[in-house]
Amino acid sequence: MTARELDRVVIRFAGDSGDGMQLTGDRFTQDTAAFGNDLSTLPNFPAEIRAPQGTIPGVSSFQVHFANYDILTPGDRPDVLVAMNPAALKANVGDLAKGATIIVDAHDFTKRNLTKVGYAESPLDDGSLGDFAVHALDLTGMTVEAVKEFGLSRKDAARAKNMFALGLVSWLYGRDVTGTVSYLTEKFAGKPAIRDANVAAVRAGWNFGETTETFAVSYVVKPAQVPAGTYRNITGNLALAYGLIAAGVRSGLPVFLGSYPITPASDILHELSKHKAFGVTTLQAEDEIAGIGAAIGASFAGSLGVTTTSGPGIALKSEAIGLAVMTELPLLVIDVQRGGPSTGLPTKTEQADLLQAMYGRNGEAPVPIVAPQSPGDCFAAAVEAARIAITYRTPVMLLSDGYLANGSEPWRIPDVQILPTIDPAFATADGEAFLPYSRDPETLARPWAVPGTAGLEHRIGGLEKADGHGNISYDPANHDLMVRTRQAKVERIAESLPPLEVDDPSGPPGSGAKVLVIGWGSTYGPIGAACRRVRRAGYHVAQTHLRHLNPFPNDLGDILRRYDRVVCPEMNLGQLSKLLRAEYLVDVRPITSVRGLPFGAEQLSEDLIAHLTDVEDPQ
Amino acid sequence: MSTTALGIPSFRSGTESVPAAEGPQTAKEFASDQEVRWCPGCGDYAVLKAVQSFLPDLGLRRENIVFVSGIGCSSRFPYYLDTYGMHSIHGRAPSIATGIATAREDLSVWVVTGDGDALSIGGNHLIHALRRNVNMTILLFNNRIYGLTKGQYSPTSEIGKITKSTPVGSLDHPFNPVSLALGAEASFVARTIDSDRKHLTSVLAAAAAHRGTSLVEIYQNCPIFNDGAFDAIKDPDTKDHAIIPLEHGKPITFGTRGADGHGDKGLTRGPASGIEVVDVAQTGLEALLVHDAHHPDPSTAFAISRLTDSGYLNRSPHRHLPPGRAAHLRRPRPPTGHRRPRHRRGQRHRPAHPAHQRRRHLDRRLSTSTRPARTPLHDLCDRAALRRRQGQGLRRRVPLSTASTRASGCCTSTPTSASTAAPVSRSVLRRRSSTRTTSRMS
Ligand SMILES: Cc1ncc(C[n+]2csc(CCOP(=O)(O)OP(=O)(O)O)c2C)c(N)n1
Ligand SMILES: [Mg+2]
Repeated sequence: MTARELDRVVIRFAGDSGDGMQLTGDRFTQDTAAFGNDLSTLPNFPAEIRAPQGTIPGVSSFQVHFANYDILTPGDRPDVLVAMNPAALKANVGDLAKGATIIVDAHDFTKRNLTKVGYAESPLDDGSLGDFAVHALDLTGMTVEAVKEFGLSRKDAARAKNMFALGLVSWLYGRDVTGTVSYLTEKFAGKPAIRDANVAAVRAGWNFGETTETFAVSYVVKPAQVPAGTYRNITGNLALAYGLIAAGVRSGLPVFLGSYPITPASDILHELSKHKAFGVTTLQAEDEIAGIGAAIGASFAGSLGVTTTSGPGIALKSEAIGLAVMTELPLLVIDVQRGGPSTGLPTKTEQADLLQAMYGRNGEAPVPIVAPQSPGDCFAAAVEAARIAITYRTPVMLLSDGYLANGSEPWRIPDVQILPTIDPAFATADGEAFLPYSRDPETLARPWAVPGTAGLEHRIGGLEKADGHGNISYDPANHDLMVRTRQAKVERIAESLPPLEVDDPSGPPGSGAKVLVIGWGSTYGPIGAACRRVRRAGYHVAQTHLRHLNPFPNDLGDILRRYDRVVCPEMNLGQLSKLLRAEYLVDVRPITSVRGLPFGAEQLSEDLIAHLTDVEDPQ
Repeated sequence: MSTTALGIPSFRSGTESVPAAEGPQTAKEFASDQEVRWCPGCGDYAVLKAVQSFLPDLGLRRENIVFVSGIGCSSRFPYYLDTYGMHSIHGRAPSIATGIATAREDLSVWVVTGDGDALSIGGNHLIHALRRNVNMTILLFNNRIYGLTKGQYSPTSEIGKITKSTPVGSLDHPFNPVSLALGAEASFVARTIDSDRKHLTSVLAAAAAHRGTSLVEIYQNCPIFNDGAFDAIKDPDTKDHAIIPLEHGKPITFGTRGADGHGDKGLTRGPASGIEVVDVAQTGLEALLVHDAHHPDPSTAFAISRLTDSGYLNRSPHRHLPPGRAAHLRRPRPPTGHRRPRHRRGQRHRPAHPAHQRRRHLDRRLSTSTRPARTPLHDLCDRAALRRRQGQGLRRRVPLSTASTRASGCCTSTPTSASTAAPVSRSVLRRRSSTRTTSRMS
């Protein structure tokens, strides 16, 4: 038995939606995070809770990429595929790298299951998998055998086969399963037989790898070198929830979440509902409109109002977002984007709500927009969104997406003390007549006067308000002034933003690379990984990524104009490209993909190289 | 720990956690500097006056009172009160108020809404606010019309209502807001009328004292688009017969009052599940139903609420409910894409050419509009107190499913006495007639 060292590995666990593949992948990820690798994950599952068994639409998978250096994506092509049935094999085999390892549960490769997915003959026998190292193992049979002492029904016993597979793959890559064992012990504390069977299955899988000679080699992927600190594995939704709590702590405001469940945003509601101790109140409303309504009410009353949803929910909230624009109250509107339009692809990712966030309201209703770039970055993005909302008294849209929400990466737990403090600066009575629509000269923000403050009684609402005293006004000049003022206030935010960072190893902007790749949100990882590939292939390319989409950073126009070509990969049909073209008159070239999946770095690097060669060598 | 184990104290009033005013207050202090801009004669003036003079009696700090409204004529209300206020968006005020009340227990939260605002676009928020039972009071101004958008029919307009959008009469069956609220698990429901200041004020006091969501339906006249909608219950000649006053612990009577103060008509339990109108002379007082505003089961309150003949209040001559009338209360169902008419007894439905069907159906509806105008007023139901006292319902009392649970506790039982409807103080309405109207669309 030899152990071979690798710098990175991509594993995909695939099976029926009832096979527990998400749990298997998640457990492998947690053990890998504990081991100290850098990692990135991509869960991919059907919208149905239980799609028809054994069919391609019913396949659920979890991909994890781990390495001894910092990685940016969950990886394009798995090195290992664990396929629990023929459907899982068929759905995933096309993505594998040549020479990849395939582990299948031979038990499920029955005639019936094969025909169900259109295999005339078993791919295990017909030579079609010749490019791969195939291990057809009776995972179900071995699992049932390993757990028989616990007296479970055959069906229940067989259900532990995912844990057997996990044990086996853990052995193959030298992962310690202690974390998984204690997880199972806790999770099934009330069901001793199930608990013991699952633990036994993990151990049996590990021991099977160790004692049989099925696998001639095992692999070592050493921990990654990372800055010192305490790390944990975190998904985007969890990081976002923590970011909101941190924003509450740093602003001294109670956090109030009004929300209605929707995939892929619900986990933020679930998480925040556990944190009363941090001053968090959550309200599961009767619909999205009531969710934002309650959040606006809470903001008026002096809380940090937050509402979380996905694209369809934003559509319902539009009118209320306009109310928050008009009343100039702090509010966070979190859109975890999914495939659209309409119900679209609930469990798949997309970035096609940018223009909805930007313009999806009646009237001139500017709303600042921020976007996180990785799962862990959702934390910082939430704090930044809260800073803007509270400082400028405005609703702020935060655009996450399904990939960030469910994907995970190691995240260094920040020291709360170094997070920015946010001053709510509530209005106080000074004996003068209170002017609810007077403005801070620097930020153009209006005073936030909270009920309970004597002397500041005032009325706000959706009707146009007169500058200063805020009474209803239909005066043409006043409306013109107020529309422009609300716009100017949002534009003012750019003054508070740091210079945009451009990553260009070939030199300062304009000297080396002729092509700039610009992106926003979750494409950061794939774009970064593609740029690394492009540079390894000998090209110069510059990369920049936008956290702020409204307003854009002040230096963005200059940066764009320094390059011969600006390329913008987006998971939509070119929404940021449109905004950039309109704002800066720069011929931004979109690279678009709306497949419900993040960009693959390999394909993207080819697309970038096409642009690079085009610029170097125009035809 | 689960939310039910939080040990929420009982016997709490709706205003208990709101700081009290330091000294006496005046109605004037509660009037904002904004010119009131409803149409001359609008019932909203009377309600505004009543609220402005009631608030000082409530004795809370002005800065701790918040009025939230939706959109509609009535929803301009907050601008005229010198408290905190938000005039929000159409139908959503209950959700905004829920956020305010949940975030801040130290605020007295009021919602002002119209029949269109609360029951049409905001119907979902209303029913969920009622079942959720966060501590706030909802004042539903029911003029049975869309006032602000210039007179389309509303969810409380009677069948056959001719409006701009229903030139040959509306087809829709109206909501009875009290029945709706009771069905939505409301813990406090009352009905009153703009013209009876004393009664309105007593209802406001009871609603504010109730901890939980109180719904107060206020019949409000719109002199421009639905004038006279409530004449039958305002006219001194008919109102005693049209209003069924409900007083906790008292037998329910109405009609011509005798020396003992009781009316000549009363309510008893009907043979089936309903309520029957009887001659007190024949049955005696002992046979009458005694109003129990705190009964934990809303069935009787619901049955009483059904006596409101919501369809025909403003056009029907006053008549007694014929015996067995309840059998006619079947809701029409649409047979072939059209609503089926409400049949008279014995009349059979004959298939008609679809083109004629609608017309005929309207004719029938109009022709059956001979119901008495009659409506029970005052708090039909204040269930929280009793449920609390019995230690029941704690679970339903907890308003939030979630992290910070600020339970709405309960009210102390303060059964308020109901007065009968007093004549409208016309002078109040006329005094305003010089006020100019403003642009009306929103
Ligand atoms: C989203 C939206 N839809 C429609 C309107 C137009 N609108 C304003 S008030 C109203 C009806 C108001 O009726 P009601 O609630 O009965 O109030 P009233 O004016 O009678 O007091 C309508 C349809 C609006 N403002 N917003
Ligand atoms: Mg109305």
